[in-house]
Amino acid sequence: MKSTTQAVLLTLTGAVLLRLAMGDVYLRYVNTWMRWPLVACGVILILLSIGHLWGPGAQSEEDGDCEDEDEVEQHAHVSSAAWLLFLPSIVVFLVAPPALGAYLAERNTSLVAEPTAGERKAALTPLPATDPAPVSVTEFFVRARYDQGLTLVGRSVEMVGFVSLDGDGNWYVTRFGINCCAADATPTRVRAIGAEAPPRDQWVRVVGVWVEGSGTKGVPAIDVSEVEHVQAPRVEYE
Amino acid sequence: MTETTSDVSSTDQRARRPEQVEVVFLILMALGISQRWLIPHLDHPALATWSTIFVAIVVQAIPFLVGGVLLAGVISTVLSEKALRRLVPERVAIGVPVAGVAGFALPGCECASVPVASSMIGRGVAPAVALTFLLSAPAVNPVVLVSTAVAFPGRPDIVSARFLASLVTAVVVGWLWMRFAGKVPMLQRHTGHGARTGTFRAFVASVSHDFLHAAGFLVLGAMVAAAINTFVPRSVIDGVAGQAVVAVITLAVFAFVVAMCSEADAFVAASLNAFSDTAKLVFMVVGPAMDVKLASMEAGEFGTAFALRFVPLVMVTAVLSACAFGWWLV
Repeated sequence: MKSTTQAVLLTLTGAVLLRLAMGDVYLRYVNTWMRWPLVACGVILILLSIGHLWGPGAQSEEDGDCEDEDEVEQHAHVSSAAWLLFLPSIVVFLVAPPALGAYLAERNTSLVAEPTAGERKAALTPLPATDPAPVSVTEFFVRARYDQGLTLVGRSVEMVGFVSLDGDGNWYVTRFGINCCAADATPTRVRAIGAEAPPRDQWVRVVGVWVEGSGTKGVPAIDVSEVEHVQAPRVEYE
Repeated sequence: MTETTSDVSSTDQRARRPEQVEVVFLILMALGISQRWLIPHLDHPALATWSTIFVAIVVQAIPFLVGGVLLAGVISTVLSEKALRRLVPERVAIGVPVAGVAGFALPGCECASVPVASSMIGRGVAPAVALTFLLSAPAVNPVVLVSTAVAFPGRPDIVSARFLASLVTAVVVGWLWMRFAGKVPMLQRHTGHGARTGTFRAFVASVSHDFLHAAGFLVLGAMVAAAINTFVPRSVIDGVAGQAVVAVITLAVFAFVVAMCSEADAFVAASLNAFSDTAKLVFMVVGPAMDVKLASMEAGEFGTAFALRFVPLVMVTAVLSACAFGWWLV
């Protein structure tokens, strides 16, 4: 890979990272706190590319002694694997990968996210007094599973998630939780009964009551009284 | 020495042969222009999911890769090999663990570790000590530990298991080499770098080179990991991951084949949800210690006779060490 191509590659990669991080698109892939590291990284890559092309003595590849040339050649010669780095930029451009949705949630039904100690503690506190009480899908799941749903009995709750289906015609209010980045996403599902299934992958706000006894072993269920189509939230992963 | 035939021929053919960068520009522009036409053809949920996971791993890992490469570049321009050699004790048996621990202070990508070890040997450092350093520097440095901590939040057990398993692998291999490998022929190609032509230029050149080199392998690892998560049937993954021995061997082979930089492999490991923590640990310990890239560089630098003994030794030690610490700590 020639020196100028390397510079183009560095600039392209840096520019793509900057573009992802300056808006909210990066949130489809990584955590919220990654914004400034990505911006810094993008800037560094672009500066590196400039230094590569125009830094002190960068163009003078006709230096006198052998050792110099060896060193320059050694550094200019990058393995052919480096060409692969064009791929992420091209993929971002062409495919504009969306946030994870029903396709993966339906594939990964065997995974169960273990709640952290903090999540477990939060689940034991009583729900806020508003009616319906806003609850995250993960929180609902944790309360049903680890607390025998004591805090959920008889309470009207409100959740936001996207629709995923299963082979038996049931639909679920679903959310992905991530630890590090979208690659380790684990889906949490709550089965919705009492309402017709909205389109798959549609984001919905659901109001309903916990079906008593459900979720202590498998997937908890919610008896739905109200379904509203909404926009996907800014941060889609919990 | 400087005028080569390619100079002459390229001047003649400049009118006809496009420069490499022009070809690249043309392809990128063509993709950009045809984007609107291509997008509907690429709109498939499996491909979209693969792309999301792929991009996520790459985007998450690149800042850590850049950090690690910058740090390694600073250290390699600031710290000369002479100073390094003065720090190494005379007795090899003590030198080995010292070299192992020294790896903590000196982040170096795998690509640099082979030439560095080679030049250390060229300057009289005992091979066992240099090889221990070769194994430990990419694996136990702070950047790697930080990225492992970020990839596995709330799991200090995995971070410490990785650190200890890698350190023990490096030291054990060093001691075994010292004890048993006295007669193994090692070629001496490298006599060390000459004077540097301006630290800034060398710095920028080495950082760009290391980054591009490592990023290419990161993309490869991310592509494979995303494909595993998207395309391989769940039943196959669960079947392989479910059996302890098969899972460990599968991830050890994966780590060897995929040759990822140690700053980034934790993020790929974290994406393999179906596998046990021990299997992920094996992936993270084997990767920096031995992979196709390292094996071929070592064969090129030290000779095939060396590589034929060194590669299996490191693989086995790394797997056993990771399993032991995985079982004990995780």
